[in-house]
Amino acid sequence: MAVCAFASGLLSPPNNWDSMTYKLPRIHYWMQHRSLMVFPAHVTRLIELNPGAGFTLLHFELLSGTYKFFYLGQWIAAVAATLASSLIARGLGGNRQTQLFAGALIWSIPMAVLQASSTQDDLTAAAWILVFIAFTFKLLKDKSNPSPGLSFLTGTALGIGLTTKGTVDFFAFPFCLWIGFEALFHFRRRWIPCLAIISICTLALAVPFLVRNNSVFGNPYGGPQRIMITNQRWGLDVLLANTARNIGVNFATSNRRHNSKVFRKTVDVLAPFGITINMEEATFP
Amino acid sequence: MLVLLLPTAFLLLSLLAYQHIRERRLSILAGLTMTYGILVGMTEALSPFHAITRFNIALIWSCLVAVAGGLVLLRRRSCLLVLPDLRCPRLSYAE
Repeated sequence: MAVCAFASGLLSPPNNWDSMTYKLPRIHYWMQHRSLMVFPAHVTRLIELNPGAGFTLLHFELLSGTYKFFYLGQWIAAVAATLASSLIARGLGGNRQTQLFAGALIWSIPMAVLQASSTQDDLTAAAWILVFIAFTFKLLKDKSNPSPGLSFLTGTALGIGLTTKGTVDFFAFPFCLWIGFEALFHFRRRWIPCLAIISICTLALAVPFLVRNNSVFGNPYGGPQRIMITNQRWGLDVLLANTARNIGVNFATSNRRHNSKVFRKTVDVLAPFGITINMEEATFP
Repeated sequence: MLVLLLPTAFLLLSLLAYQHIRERRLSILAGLTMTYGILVGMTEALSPFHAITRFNIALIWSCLVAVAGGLVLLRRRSCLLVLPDLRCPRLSYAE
């Protein structure tokens, strides 16, 4: 699967919607302005969404002079996610076979396979979460004697993850709490520099972008785009509608008849609760 | 030629990590994390000075490759011990 994704990326130029509308154009703005500072943009996604994955592509383009290596960012992330998942399986007590299965499972996720040859950033973000968790497992293996080197790697992985996508903080938060609790319950003086290293590495990489966003939109997490893609209100009905629709999306195929059946089924599931499938407060236009 | 700088830096940083961690997969992830970390940090650090240019990026990556390569070579112990360790144990002479 990895070889096929590699070949697919090599043979096809970037072509998906998000990449064409903001993920790649902003790289050329940065190159043109020789700076990451915000620039006047009609499509605010160009400036308000996390740029981490774009930095990698920026280096690929600057060093090679071509866009042809753009896909490598996500492909490398897929390989890293495979390695990290196998290490997490080991951290959870799995044997060699379990580790192989965990790694193979990554390549059985349709979205991961599709993204491995694309210039999106979701797989990159997922990979950094997994790498952060793998380092966390290793760091907490010896709770009474934490390693500053591993703390550096744990903080750096989290920092890059936060720079890559806004959803990373949500998934990484429980593991940050875990590190905090373990440091508290197995407190030694050695934990102080380690926690400082993790915090400094994370903040040094993640904060500059948040500061730029705050200076433009008055909110570190962005402006119009953030508001548009988040739920306008919270509630049980919103949760139910989003869950049903997300499950439905995962059953979609290229067969139109099958898709319309899935669509009708989703409508039927939500109807008894008085929920319409196009609930405005929870739907991206 | 220039695009070789990134994989070379990644390889050298992974080797450096292996000297300390002694685990292959974790070292690869450590190399990747350090490469990406430098990449993100360097881009942010260059930006305020309006210096994100092909020349500056290539210069800094070249320096990094030279320093990381120097560190790997200087650690004679690692050069002699790490490389044989990287072989699959099943194929090694001892087995």
